[in-house]
Amino acid sequence: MSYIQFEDVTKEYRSGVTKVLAVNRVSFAIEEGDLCVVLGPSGAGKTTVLNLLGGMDRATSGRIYVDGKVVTDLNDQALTDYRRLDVGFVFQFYNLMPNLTALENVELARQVRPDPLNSKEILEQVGLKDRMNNFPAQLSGGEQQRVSIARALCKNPALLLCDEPTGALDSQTGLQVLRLLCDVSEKFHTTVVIITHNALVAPLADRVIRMKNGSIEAVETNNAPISVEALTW
Amino acid sequence: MVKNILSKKLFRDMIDVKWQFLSIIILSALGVLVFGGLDASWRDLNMSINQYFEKQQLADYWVMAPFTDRNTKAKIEGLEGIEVMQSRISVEVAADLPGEPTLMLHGLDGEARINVPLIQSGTSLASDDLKGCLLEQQFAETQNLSVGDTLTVQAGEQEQPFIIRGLVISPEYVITAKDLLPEPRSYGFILVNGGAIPQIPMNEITVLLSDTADHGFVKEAIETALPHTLVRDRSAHRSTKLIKSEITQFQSLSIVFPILFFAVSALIVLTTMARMVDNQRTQMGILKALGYRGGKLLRHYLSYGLYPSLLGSAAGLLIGRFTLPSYMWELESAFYALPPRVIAPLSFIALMVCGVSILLSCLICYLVCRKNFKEAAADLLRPKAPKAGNRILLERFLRLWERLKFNSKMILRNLFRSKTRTIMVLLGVLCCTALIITALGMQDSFRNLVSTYYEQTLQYDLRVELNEDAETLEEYQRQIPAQTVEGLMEKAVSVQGKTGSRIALLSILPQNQKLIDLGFKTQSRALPAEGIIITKKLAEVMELEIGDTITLRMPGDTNPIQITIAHLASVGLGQGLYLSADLWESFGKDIFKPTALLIQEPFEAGVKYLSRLDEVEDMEWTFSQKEKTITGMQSIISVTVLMAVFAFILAFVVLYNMGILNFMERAREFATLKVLGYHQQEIRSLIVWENALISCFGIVLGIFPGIWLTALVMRASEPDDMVLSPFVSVLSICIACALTLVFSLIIQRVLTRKVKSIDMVEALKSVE
Repeated sequence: MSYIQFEDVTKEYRSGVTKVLAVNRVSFAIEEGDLCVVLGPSGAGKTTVLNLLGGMDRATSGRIYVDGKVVTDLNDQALTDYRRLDVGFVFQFYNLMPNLTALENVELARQVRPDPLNSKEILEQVGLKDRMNNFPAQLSGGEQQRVSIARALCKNPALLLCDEPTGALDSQTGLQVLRLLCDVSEKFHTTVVIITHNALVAPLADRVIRMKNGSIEAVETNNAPISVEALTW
Repeated sequence: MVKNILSKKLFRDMIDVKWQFLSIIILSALGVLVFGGLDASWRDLNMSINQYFEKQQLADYWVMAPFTDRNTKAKIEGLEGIEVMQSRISVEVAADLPGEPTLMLHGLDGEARINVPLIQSGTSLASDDLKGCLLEQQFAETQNLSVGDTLTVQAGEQEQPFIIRGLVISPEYVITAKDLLPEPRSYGFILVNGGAIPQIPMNEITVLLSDTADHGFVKEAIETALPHTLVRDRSAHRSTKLIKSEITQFQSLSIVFPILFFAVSALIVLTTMARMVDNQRTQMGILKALGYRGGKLLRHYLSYGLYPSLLGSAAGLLIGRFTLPSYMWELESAFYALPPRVIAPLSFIALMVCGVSILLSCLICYLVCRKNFKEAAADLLRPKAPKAGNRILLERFLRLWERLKFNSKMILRNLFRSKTRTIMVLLGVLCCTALIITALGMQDSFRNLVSTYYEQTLQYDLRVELNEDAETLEEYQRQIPAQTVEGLMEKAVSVQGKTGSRIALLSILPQNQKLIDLGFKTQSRALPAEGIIITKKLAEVMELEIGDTITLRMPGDTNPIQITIAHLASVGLGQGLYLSADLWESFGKDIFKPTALLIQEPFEAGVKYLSRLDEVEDMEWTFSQKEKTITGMQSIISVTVLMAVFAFILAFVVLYNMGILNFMERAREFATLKVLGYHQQEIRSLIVWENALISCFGIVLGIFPGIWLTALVMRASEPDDMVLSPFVSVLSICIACALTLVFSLIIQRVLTRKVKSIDMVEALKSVE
C-alpha cells in the first residue's frame, strides 16, 4: 500500500435541498517523500481533497489511508491528534495569529507537539532570522507565508499540505516559497502536497494529480523533476 | 421600490443576527424596566398614600391636652387656618381576648370628621350608636373576630362590651405599632363614640388645616393658646412619618440603583450596536458603489438603532409598570395597612429615560455610519484589516514576561488587543459584583444596626413597662432578684431648638446607670451631672451641637426647662434625649418614678415576682425584640434579592453578548488553532482563562464601588429616627465575589461549547 491512498472518496455538501458534489469518487495514491502537486481550475475540488487529507473535514463515503492509518475512521479526538502530530498546513492567506510575533506563531504550533524542532532554527532556515520578533502586520506577504511554513515545519510533520501557497504572492516571492517547499521535501524527507491552479508548478513535482469537476483527470509521475531555478513563469 | 428593498434587507439582516438584535432589545428593555418599574412603584405608593390622606382627612395636628375641659376646644376654635377639629378620647385599653392584647381606643365626639376610617367590611358607626365599635381589620383578622362579634374591653374601671359594626383601616394607622414594629396580634385600634365611655375624659383634639393655612403659624398659635398641651404635627406622628420616610427611601433607591443599571446596559447596547453596524461595512460600500445617497443610507442604518431600542424600551417600560409596582406593593402591604392602590400616571422621567435610551442607540448608529461613509466606496468594499497585534506594557518587564507560560502571554496580549471588549466585560462584572455587594451590604448594615443597638446600646435583658401605680426604684431593687435592676422614666416632650421644635422622647435615668450605653464615654456609662444628652441623629436633624441651649416643654406644664447639651449619644434606633434623675428632680417638676424597669440577668424568681405585680403592663425580652426587628426587615431583604436577580441578568447579558461577539470575531483564529491540532479542551481553556482573568479583575475592581454604593443607598434611605451606618461584612464581599466568579465561569462554559461547532473549512475559507 502507498503512503497516502484515497479509495473511492466522495464529499457531498448539502445546503438546504441542493446537494453539491465537491469530490466525486476519487482514488489516487502518493508515495512517502513525494512532492505532489494537485492541479486544476477553481472549483475542481482540490481544496476539498486537501481538507479531507488533512483531517479538517470528513468524507461522505470512501476511505483515506495515511501511513497505514484509516483517517476516515478516526473519531474527533483521534483526528485532532492526527492533525497535531502528523500534518502541517500552509494556507493561501497564511492564517497567522495577528497578536503573536513570528516567533510566537511558530511556538504556537510547537506547544502541542511532544518533540518539536527548534523554532528559532526553523525561522533561520526560512530566512527570517532578523524578523522573528515582528508581528504579522509588520511582515510582507512572502515573509508571512514563510512564517506559516515555519509554523507547519516546526511540528516536524510527516505530511505537509499547502493550499495555494503562492496564490497571494508575486512571482518572485512565490518562487522563493516554492524553493523552500522543495528543500523541505528533500531535507526532511517530508511528503509535501501542494495545491495550485498554476500549471507551471507541475514540473517541480514527483507526482502531478490533475483534477476537474471533482474528479481525477490524470495522475502523472515525473521521474526527473526540475529544480526551482530552472522554473520560469 | 427602493425603500422596499432596503426594508427587506433590514428585515433579513435582523433575522441573520437575531441574537444580537435580541440582546440589544433585552438590554434596552432591562435598563428601562428597572428604572420605570421602580419609579412607578414609589409613585404609586406616594400617590395612593397622599390621596388616602387627603380623602380620609388625616389630621395635620394631634393636640394632646391631658386636662381638657369644655373651653379647651373653644380656645382654638376660631384660629385662622383651622378647617375642622374633632375632640376625642385616646386611651390604651386591654381587650378581653387571649393574650390580653392592647387596643388604642378612640372615643369620638360624633361622626368621624378627621382621620376618617375606611370601612373594609361591615358598616360605619352611627353617631348615636353607643354599643357599637369599629375595629382595625388586621387586628380582627389575627384574633378571628368579624362583624357582629362582641369585643369586651377594660375601659377605665369597668369592663365594657362593644359590638363590632365594621372592620376598618385608618389613615393615622398606616402602621399600627406600639414600639418599632406592628404586631397585629397584640396591638390594634378601636373606634367608639365618646358617649359610650363617659367615665373617661376627652384628652385629645385633632386638627385639620385649610389648604391655604400657614402651618408654622397655626402651630405656634395653638401652642400659645393652649400652653399646657403638646402639639404633634404629621412629622411627629409615628405612622405618618414612617410611611413618608418609607416612600422617600424607596424613591432614592429607585434612582441610585436603576441609573447605574441603565448606564451599564446602555453602554453594552452601544458597543454591540457599534459592532453590528461596523460589520455592515462591506454592504455599505456596495450600496454606496451602487449609487445610493448618504441620506437614504443613513436612514436605513439608523433603523438598526431605532427599531430594537424602541421595541426594547417600550417593552421594558410596559413590563416594568405592570410587574414591579404590584410586587413592591405586595411587599409593602406585609408591613403597612395600605389603602387601595392608585396607579400613578406615567412619569416624565420614566419617559425620558426611555427616550434617552432610544436616542443613544440612534446616535451611536449615526456616528459609526458617518465614520464609514467618509471612506471611499472602494475602501469600504475591502474588509477591515484585522487588528494588528502589539506588544503590551508588561513585555517591557522582560524578566517577568519571559517567565510567563506561552498561553498566558497569548491571553494577555488578546486582552489588550480588543480593549473595548475587555473594558465592557470588566464593567459588566464590576457592576454585577458591586450590585451584589450592595444588596448584601444593605442587609449587613441593617443587621449591624440591629445587633449594635440590642447588644451594645441596650445592656439589659428585660424591660418591664409599669403603669402609674409604680413604686420607687429602690423598692423594686430590693424586691426583684436579679443581677441588676434599674429604672427609667420616659416622657414625651417638645424640644425647642434654634431652628424649630420637635416632639421627642425624654429618658430620665439614675445618674450612675449602667444598662444603656450611649457611647459617648469609654469607661463608665454614668450620665453627666450637668446638661442633657441628645442623640446624634436628632441633633443633626435639629441642627444642634454640644453647648447649645434647648428648651423642653412637657404637656400640661407651663414652665419650660432651659438646658445645655452636654454630649451627643450614638444610638442607632430611636432618637431622643437622656437626662439624669438628680438633674430632673432639681427642676422641681415631679420626682423620679420609673415608667419602666430595665433588668439585667433576672433570676427566675424575679420574673415570677414581676408577673404577679399589678402595675406591670408588659414585659419584653431584649432578644425577642431583636428577633422581631429582624423579621420586620423582610421587605428590605426582598428588595435586595430583587437587586441581586437584576445584577445577575445584567451580568449574564453582558458576558454572553460580549462572549458571542468575541467568538465570532475570532472564529478564524480558533479555527487555525484547531487545524494546528489544538484539542477542543485546550481552546476552551484558553477562552475561559482569558475571561476568568477579566472577571477576576472586574470583581476586584467592583468591591470598592460596591461598598461606596452601599453607603450611598444607606445614606439616601436613612429615616429621621435611625442611624444607618453602612457596613459590609467581609463574608458578604467574599460571597459576592464568589457568586460573580462562578456565574461568569458558568457562562464561559456554556459559550465555549461553541468551539465544537467551529467549521475549520468554513472559517478558513480564503477571504475574497
